[in-house]
Amino acid sequence: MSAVAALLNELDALRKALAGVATRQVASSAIKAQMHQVASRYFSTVQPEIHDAETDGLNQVFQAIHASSRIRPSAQKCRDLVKTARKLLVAVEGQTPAKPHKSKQSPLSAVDELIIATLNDLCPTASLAYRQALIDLGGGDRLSWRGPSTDLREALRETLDILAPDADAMASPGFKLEGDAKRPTMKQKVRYVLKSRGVPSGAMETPESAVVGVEDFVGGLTRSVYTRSSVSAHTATTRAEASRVLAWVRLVICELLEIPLG
Amino acid sequence: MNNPTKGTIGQAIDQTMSALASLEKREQQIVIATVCSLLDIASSVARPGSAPAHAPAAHTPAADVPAPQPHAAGAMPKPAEQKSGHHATERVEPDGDRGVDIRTLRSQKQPASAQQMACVVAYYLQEHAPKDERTKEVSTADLERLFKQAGFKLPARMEQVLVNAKSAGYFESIERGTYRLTRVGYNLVTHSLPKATAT
Repeated sequence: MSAVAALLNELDALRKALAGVATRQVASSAIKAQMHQVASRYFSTVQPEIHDAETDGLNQVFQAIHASSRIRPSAQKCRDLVKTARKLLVAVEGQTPAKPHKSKQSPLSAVDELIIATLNDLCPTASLAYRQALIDLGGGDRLSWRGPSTDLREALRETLDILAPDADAMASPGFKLEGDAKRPTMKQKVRYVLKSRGVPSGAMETPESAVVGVEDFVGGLTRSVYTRSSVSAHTATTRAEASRVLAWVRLVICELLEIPLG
Repeated sequence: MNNPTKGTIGQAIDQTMSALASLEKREQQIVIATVCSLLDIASSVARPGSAPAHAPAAHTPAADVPAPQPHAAGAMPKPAEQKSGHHATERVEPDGDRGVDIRTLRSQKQPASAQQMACVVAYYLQEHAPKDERTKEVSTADLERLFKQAGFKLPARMEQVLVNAKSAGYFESIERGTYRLTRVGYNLVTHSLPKATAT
């Protein structure tokens, strides 16, 4: 059975479970776990195999199912999401055999596979961004390396938004917004998470400085578009830097997700 | 990669040692692992605690616990995935019937804080408890019972342990007073404990 067909079966089971919900909101932790599992299954087994043009709608709907599994969602909204997901998947299932299989994956290290698997569970869109950056960095020459760098930064940002929501970070003792910032910086969020875990302040320096490196570099990269006259000269210098951003992001994410770095 | 003036291996070692000398052991390992990653070198350097020197080589009851080393994706599947056979061949299946008790698990994982111990307890309940006690949900009452069984000192504010562990990303709240171990908490137990102490 293909991954799509297997997922369709799971969606049908979820649809039946949701049909049995008599209340306006889904309170059952079993059904929410089912929703979570269906969304994770999509991002880990189906999404990598389907074509780019088809992924946007599916990503959105499965991300919504994933997010709903974390709260007490409207039962009707869940039924609608599952119905939409099913419709989109059926369309994909019909088209997939007619198209050549597209191998998006290059061999990943064990650490990266573990990061992706954990992010799939925690924040599927962060997992997609991280995976896309790895694919891009593992590919051949590119005209621009901004894409992988910004994908990596976004993967880190989304991970931090899940682990350290703005309100929680801002409510922590002694918190102060930096400069003109309207929300906590990534560095402050890393500090919040590690402090919550009782990590001594000395041990926070390495991940914090890596986050600053990512923010400075990717921020600078975006600004440089307006200040540099030669885009080609710019991209020539950023290929190695994009790899460095990967190393920084990997380091911080490993720390946040409790994954041994190597 | 730039290769302006090739030095000797000895010089490279000296320079590396000098650069690392001022850092703590844990930071040294992070730097080495990062550099290996940047240079695409397969590294055998493990993160502190990821491959403890004292880990038993022979099979012991505690050896059912997945070795704390990086595995392939899904190598630590959630129980639901295990049941479906997903990635089943990629990991050592924990077997509650073979009796890894909470005291043994605590001794192997060496949690250094109540939060870490709470993760060990939740992992035990999820993977190693006798089948009729096995559950993914954990409450303060479970913690208190299993902290005592494991001989782990009870914290002054037991009711705060799960709340704090949720802030740390190790648990998610299912309903009032009931929590579930997240993938991050799972990673902590299976891959990161015991944590090395800075030397």
